[in-house]
Amino acid sequence: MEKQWNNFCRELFDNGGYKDVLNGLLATVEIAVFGLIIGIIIGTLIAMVKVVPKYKILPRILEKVVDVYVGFFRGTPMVVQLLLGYFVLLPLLGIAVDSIIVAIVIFGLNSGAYVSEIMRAGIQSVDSGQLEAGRALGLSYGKTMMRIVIPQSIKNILPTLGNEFITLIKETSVVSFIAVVDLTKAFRQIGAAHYEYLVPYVVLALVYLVLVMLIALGVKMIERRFKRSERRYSK
Amino acid sequence: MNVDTQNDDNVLIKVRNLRKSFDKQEVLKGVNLDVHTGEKIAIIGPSGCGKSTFLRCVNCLEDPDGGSIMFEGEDLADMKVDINIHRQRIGMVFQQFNLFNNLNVLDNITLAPIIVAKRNRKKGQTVKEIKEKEQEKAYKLLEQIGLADKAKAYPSTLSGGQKQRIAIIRALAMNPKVMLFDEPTSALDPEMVGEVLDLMKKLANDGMTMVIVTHEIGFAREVANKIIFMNDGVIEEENAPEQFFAHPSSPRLKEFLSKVL
Amino acid sequence: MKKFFMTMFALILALSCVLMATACSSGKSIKIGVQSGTTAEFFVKGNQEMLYDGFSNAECMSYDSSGLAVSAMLNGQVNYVIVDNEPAKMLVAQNAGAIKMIDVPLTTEEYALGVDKNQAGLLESINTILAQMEENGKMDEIFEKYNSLVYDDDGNVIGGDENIVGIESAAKNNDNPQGQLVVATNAEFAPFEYKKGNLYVGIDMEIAQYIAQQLELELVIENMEFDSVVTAVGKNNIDVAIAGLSVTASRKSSVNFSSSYYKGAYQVLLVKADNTEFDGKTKEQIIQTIKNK
Repeated sequence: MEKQWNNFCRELFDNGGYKDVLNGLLATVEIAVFGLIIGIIIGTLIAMVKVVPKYKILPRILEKVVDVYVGFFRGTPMVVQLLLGYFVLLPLLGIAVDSIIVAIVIFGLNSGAYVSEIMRAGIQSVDSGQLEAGRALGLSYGKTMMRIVIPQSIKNILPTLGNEFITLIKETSVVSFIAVVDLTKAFRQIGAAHYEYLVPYVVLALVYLVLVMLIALGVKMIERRFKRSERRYSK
Repeated sequence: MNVDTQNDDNVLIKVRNLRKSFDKQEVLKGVNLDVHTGEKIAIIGPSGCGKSTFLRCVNCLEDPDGGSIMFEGEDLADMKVDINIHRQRIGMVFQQFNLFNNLNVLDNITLAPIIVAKRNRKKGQTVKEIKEKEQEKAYKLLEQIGLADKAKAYPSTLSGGQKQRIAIIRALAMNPKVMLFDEPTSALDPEMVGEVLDLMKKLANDGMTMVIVTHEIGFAREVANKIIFMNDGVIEEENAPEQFFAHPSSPRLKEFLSKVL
Repeated sequence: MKKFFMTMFALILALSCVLMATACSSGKSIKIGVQSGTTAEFFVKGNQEMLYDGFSNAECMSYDSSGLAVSAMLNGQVNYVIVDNEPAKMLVAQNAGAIKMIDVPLTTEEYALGVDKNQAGLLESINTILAQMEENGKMDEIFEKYNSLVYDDDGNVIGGDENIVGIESAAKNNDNPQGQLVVATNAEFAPFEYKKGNLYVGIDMEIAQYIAQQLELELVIENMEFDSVVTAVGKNNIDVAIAGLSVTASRKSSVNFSSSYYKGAYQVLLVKADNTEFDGKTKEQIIQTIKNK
């Protein structure tokens, strides 16, 4: 055990493993952050398609398209999506892209499917009377959404988005399938140097745990902030 | 039926053969009604008779399935008509108040007027001027109902009566030609009903055209100059209040009145 | 409230910029693909214990198999793939139109079996059998079989596989570990180990079968990620690792190596379209050329 610990420390500090770990951490955070940003943009668009009234033909077609999209990304594993993107889609398109960019895009597309559901639920949780009151005053559907409904739904959406971010952080551990050196891969490499994985994997788990706990703390702070601002209104 | 007691030029809203179904159930089975300028119409009837649906169809919060609603020379039931323009001239007050929870009282009142004023902006007029003008107007309205000190408060801090009175002046701030009230006092605690009815009486005295769906028979008798009894998706009886209560002709109205009076 | 959102937004934006900046400035000019967990990974990244300098100008891209590394190279995701010579030949044969090999060994790799440290007797008998195989020509026979495969232009085997018979793994019986030889491998390393349907084929697999027959044991093959092959030995009744495994100092701390049965080498694969001049260059010159990229 002590020998394993010493080997680990030597790999980590003397042989430059910490550089890989820091770069890996950066890659992990990068993929999750940008993935979530792309996801929020796509998710918002999809949620709009989902909640918009379906009188006209265009929203109805869009909804079908969006259903296929959401069905695909929720119905297949992330790893498969990564492999499809990297080893199938890119060669078909004939373009070479950094694997971390591929990971960000795939994570963005994937989380877009999940975020859309979060958004839809958040919007639909706002009392329908709010929309009606806006429409009755002569405001357009879009204006009422932007000024009245969406601001009220954010309170419900934000904490769930925090959870989605945590999910993304954890799911990034599969990106080494497309040759991205993330946190997991960095520790696997340290383990591979001596074929001793016990210490690296335990430390890896702890790093993820701390990372996730920090994010959870941040989400909680934001939530509390919202509660406080609500209380401020009630003075 | 004495629909045409006033001359036709005064007709503000002309509803003809209005139909509406939810799924397979027909809620409105061809409703005809003329609302003349300055008229105060009270609609009463048993629950489920379609009176709220009728009111919500008038400004197309529910899309009618058939018939026509003529307002300012256009048929609101026609999907091609820009309903938003007309809704600005038709004020609506809801049973559940529906104040915007994310905005304070002042913003609740000024939100829509500012958007409209910005769209019809005159040359040289700045956004700031528009805002100030609308806010000034809102304060005046708030003073009239004695709630000027609540301008910066959020709806969650107000009592039901206060909310409903603000909802009424929010609609008034758009300078509507007609006000629709959908059971405005049903969700209120009994002690708050009075303040809302008082405000509505004041509106009536100021000459506002009003269509009121209500359970307050006494209020209807006092304020309305026409009372309508709806039953099973049609207008069963309409008359001036004195005759309406003194000589009800339909047996179902008689039965209804015997229950509520 | 509005102020709060603005600060949040500004924060996210600032963070994004920082992350983007770091992402774009890795400072590596080329990418070299390798199989994850192989010593090629260390050859590219550099490792003091193995006396590898590494390529400081190259980003090391680790794939699950060398085949995936090659398909990434074909799409332009990596510039070179560094892989053992035997699989390299196979990959060139299978992608004949698109990739080529620099036919100069960059390293010397001694392939050996990794044996459980607690089974000194097993190590001894394996060494005896390996020596016997060299002597009676069995080893040459196995290598010859896989060298005589014939491919068409699309990389399909069209001949020479008449003598190759797939090996079936017995079901693992944890109640009677004494009766079985359990080997760990990563069957994505043709021609040493790969799969044909649900049967195992390859040089290593035939060696393992021969050893099992000599020891009168049932052969159980456990197919896993290459990363895990060495660490798996000694756990869960796994006796031996046989996976085109080169002898390295760090692996010696986990397993006892048998005598070597093959001398391999890392070689460079590149796309045909790459017209960098490597012809007639020595090993050192080739490495320097790549470092100067």
